[in-house]
Amino acid sequence: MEKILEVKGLKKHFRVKGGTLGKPLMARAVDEVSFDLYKGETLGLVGESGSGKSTAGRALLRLIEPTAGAVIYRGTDITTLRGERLRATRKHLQMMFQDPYAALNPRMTVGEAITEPLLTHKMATPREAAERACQILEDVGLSAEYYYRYPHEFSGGQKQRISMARSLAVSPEILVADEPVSALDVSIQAQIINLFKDLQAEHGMAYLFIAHDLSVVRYLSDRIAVMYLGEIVELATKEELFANPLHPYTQALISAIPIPDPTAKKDRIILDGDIPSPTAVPVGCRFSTRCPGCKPECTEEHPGLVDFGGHWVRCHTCSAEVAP
Amino acid sequence: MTRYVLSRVLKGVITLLITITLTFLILRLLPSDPALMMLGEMFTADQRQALIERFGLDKPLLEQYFIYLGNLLQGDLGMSFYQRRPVMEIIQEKLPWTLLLMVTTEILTMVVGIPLGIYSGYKRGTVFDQIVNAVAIFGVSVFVPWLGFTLLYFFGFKLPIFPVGGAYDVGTEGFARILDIGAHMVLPVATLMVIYLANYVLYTRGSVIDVMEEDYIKTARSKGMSERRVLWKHASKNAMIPTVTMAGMMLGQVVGGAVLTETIYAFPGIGRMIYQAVGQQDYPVLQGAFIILALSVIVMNIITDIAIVYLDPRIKLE
Amino acid sequence: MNQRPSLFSKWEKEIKAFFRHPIGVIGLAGVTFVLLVAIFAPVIAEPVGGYGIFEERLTGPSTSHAFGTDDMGRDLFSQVVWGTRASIKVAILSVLTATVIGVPIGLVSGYFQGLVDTVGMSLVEIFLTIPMLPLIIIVTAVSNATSINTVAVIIGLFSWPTIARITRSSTLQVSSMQYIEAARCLGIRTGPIIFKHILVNASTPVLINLTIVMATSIITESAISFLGLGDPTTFSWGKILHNAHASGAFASAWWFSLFPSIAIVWFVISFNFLSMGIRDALNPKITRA
Repeated sequence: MEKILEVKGLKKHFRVKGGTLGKPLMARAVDEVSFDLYKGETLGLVGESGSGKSTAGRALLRLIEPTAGAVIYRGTDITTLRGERLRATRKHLQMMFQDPYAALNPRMTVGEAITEPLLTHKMATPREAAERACQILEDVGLSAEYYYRYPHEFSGGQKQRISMARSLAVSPEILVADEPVSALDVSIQAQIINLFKDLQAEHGMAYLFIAHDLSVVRYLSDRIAVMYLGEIVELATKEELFANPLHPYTQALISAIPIPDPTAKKDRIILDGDIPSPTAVPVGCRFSTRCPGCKPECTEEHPGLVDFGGHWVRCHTCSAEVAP
Repeated sequence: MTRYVLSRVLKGVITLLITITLTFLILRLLPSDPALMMLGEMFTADQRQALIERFGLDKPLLEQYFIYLGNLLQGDLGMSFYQRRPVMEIIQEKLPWTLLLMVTTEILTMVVGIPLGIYSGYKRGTVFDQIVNAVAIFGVSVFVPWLGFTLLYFFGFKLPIFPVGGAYDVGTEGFARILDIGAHMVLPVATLMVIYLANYVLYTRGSVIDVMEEDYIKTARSKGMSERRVLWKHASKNAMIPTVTMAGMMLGQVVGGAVLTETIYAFPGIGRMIYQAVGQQDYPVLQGAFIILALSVIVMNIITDIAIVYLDPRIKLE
Repeated sequence: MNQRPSLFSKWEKEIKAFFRHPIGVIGLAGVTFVLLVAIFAPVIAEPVGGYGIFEERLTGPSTSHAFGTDDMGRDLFSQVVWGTRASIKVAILSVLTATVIGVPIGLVSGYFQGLVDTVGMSLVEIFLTIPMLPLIIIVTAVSNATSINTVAVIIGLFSWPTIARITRSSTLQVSSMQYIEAARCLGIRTGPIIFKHILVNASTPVLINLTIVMATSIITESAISFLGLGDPTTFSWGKILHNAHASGAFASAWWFSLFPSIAIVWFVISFNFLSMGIRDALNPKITRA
C-alpha cells in the first residue's frame, strides 16, 4: 500500500496561566505522536477527553501550529510550508468538525459553501463549480435543490452531510474527521458512518477518524491508534486490537463497550481516578497512576513505543506478553 | 492587588500624557498665528516681535513642548488671552461651583435612581415598570437646552419661584447666602438630573433584569428563600457591579458634563467658562480647561476600576 | 433549483423577529417620517434664509405660520422642516466616518489579536477617556469649522471608538466559531475570510451601536450649534435654539424653542427605539419570551 502521510514526533504544548515568570506552566497536549497513513485506509484515533486526539488532528493540519514535529505529505513536510504553497496544499488535507451547528457559516447558502473552495483554488469556473456542487450534493445523499438553502433549515445529520460535501469539493486525499458523529442522534450516526464508508469506496480518501467511542471506530477503521494523555499507547490493525489488546488502557476501554445482551458475562475493568491534567504529566509511564498492573519501573522510566510485528505498544509490562 | 493598582495608575499617567500632548499639538498646529490672535493686528511689527520673544513663541516646537510640560507640573496653565490673568486662577474660581453642582446631582441621582432601577427591573413587565421605562427612555433622549428653557420658563418667569441665573444674589451673607445658593441650584440640578437619572435607571434596571434571569436566582428561590431576601442578597449585589461602573463614568463627567446647563443658567462654573472662552477665542483657557477635564476623568476611571476589582469576586488578578 | 435568495433571505430570521416587536417598528416609522420630510422639504415648506418680515417677528403659531416666527420674522415651520436635512446629513456623515475608521480597526484587532489588538484598544481607551463634548467644542472652535459637513465628520471622528470596540468583541466571538476554522482549512485567503465570513456575521451587534451613534450625533450637533459654533448658514435645530437663547426671546416666545426641541427629541427617540428593536431582534432570549 502507498504511504501518503508520515507524522513524526508531533508535539503541541500550550502555555497556560499559572507558574512563575522563569518557568511557565505548559500543558503538554500532544507529545511525540508518530504514525503513518496509507492511501485509502481508515486510521481510527481513540481516547477520552483530554487525551489530545483533537489537538493532534488540528496540529497535523496546521490549524493550530505544532510546537515541534514533521508532517510529511507525499514527500513534502507541510510544517515548513508558508503562504501560497501552504494554501495550495490544503486541498489535499481536509477536516470535518464535531459540531454541525458551528461548522457552517449561517449566512452562506449551501451552494456558496461548496463552491467557495472550488473557486478559491481555481479548480473550476463559476458555472462548472455550481454544477459540480450539485453533483456533490447528490453524492452525499442530499438533493441538488438544497443549493440555495441556508444551514439553519437543516437537521444535524444533514448539516454534517453538507460539511462533508464542502470538504469533498476539493477532492482531498486525506480527511481528518474530528468526532463527526458524537453530536448526532444514534440512529443518525449509523447513516453518517455509512456515508463515510461509501464515499471512501467511491473517492479513495484516507481517513483519520477521531472518536472517543471504540464501537463507532470499530466499524470503519482498518487500523486503530489509542491515545492517552498526549501519547499513542497502542497502535494495531482492528482485528489485532480487539482480539489481543495489550495495553491495560486499551483493555479497559474495550471492556467498557456495552454489549446488548443482558445475559452476557462482563468483566468490566474499572479504572481508578481521573485522567491527570496535561500540565502535570506523571513521571515515567503516564498511565501509571491508574494502571491496575503498575510495577515500580513504571513510575520511573518512560516507556517507548515497541513494535511487536505491526502491533505497537507503549508499556513496560507488555514486553512479557509478546503477540504471536 | 498592589501591582494592579500601580499598573492602573501608570496607564492613567500615560493616557494623561498623551492627552496633554494632543492638546499641545492641536493648538500649535492652528491655521492662524497664536501671537497674531493674541495681539490683534493693531500692534507694530516690533512690538509683536517683543511679545513673541517674551512668550517663547519662536522657539522650536520640541522646546516649546518641554517648557509647556514644565509649566504644567508647576500648575501653570498659561495666561488667558482675554482676561489677562493666569488660567489656573480662573479655573480655581470656577471649579468649586461645577463640583458643587455635579456632586449634588450625582448623589441625588444615585439615591433616587438605584432603588428605582432595581425595583423597576424586579417588577419587570408591570405597569409601574413600563411607565418608568418609558419615562427613562424619554429622559435619555431629551435635549438639555430645551429642558433648561422649559424649566426656566415655567419656574423662573411664569411662576417666579426660582432665580433665573447665576449662583447667588449679591448682598446675601452667611446662612441666607447658603439658602440663596441652594435656591439658585435647584433648576440646574433638576435639569441635569433628568438625563443622569434616566441613564441610571435604564442601566440599573437592565442589569437587574439580566441578573434575575440567571440560574442562581432560580436556585435561591427554589431553596425557599423569601422574595425580599432574593432581591437583596443576590440580585442587588451583583447588579450593583455594572452600576458602580456607571457611577464612575458619570463622576468622570463631573467637570465637563455641565457645559450646556451652566450656559443656560449662567452658572459660574467650568462649563460656562468653556463656552465664554470659545466666544472670546481664549485658547489658553480652553487648553487648561481641557486638561483639567481629562485629569478628572482619568482619576475617576482609575478609582472606578480599582473599586470594581475590589467588589467583583469573579475577576481574578494574575 | 429554486430561485436565487435575496439579501432579505440571508437575514430572514432577524428581520421577522424585528417586526414582531412594536418598539423597533415605531422607531423605524419615526425615522422614516423624518427621512420623508427631509426629502420632500421643498414641497412642504419654503426654503429659509436671509431676513424675514420685521413686523412679523416673534408671533405665535397661526394659520400663516404654523410654528410661529423667530426673532427675525422668519417662519419657524420652514426652519424646522429644512432642519431635517441638516440632521439627516449629520447622522449619516458622522456614522459613515465612525464606521470607516472603527469597523476596520475592530475587525483587525479582533481577528489578528496580539500586538495589533493591544495597540488598537489602547487607542480606543484613550479616546474614550477624553470627554467628548468639550473636546469637540474645542476642536470645532479651533479649526474654524464652518460647514455642517465638517462638524459631522468631527463628531464621527470622536464616535469611532465605541464602534471599534463592539466590532472587536463581535469579531472575537465569530472568530472562535468552527466555520472560520473550516474556511482556513479549506485554504480560503485571509481577506475573504475577514470580509465574507467574519464581517457578515459580526456586523449585527455593530448595527445597534450605529443607530445609537446616529442618535447621539444629533444631540452633539445640536449642542454645538446651540453654543454658537458650527455652520452659520445652515438652519439646524440646534441653531434655531441658539437663536432663541441669543435673542433672549425664549422666555416669552415658547414656540421658538418648543418646536425644534420636539424635532430633536423625535429624531433621537426614533433612533433609540430602532436600536432597541434591533437589539431585541438579535437576542434569542427576549425573542422567545
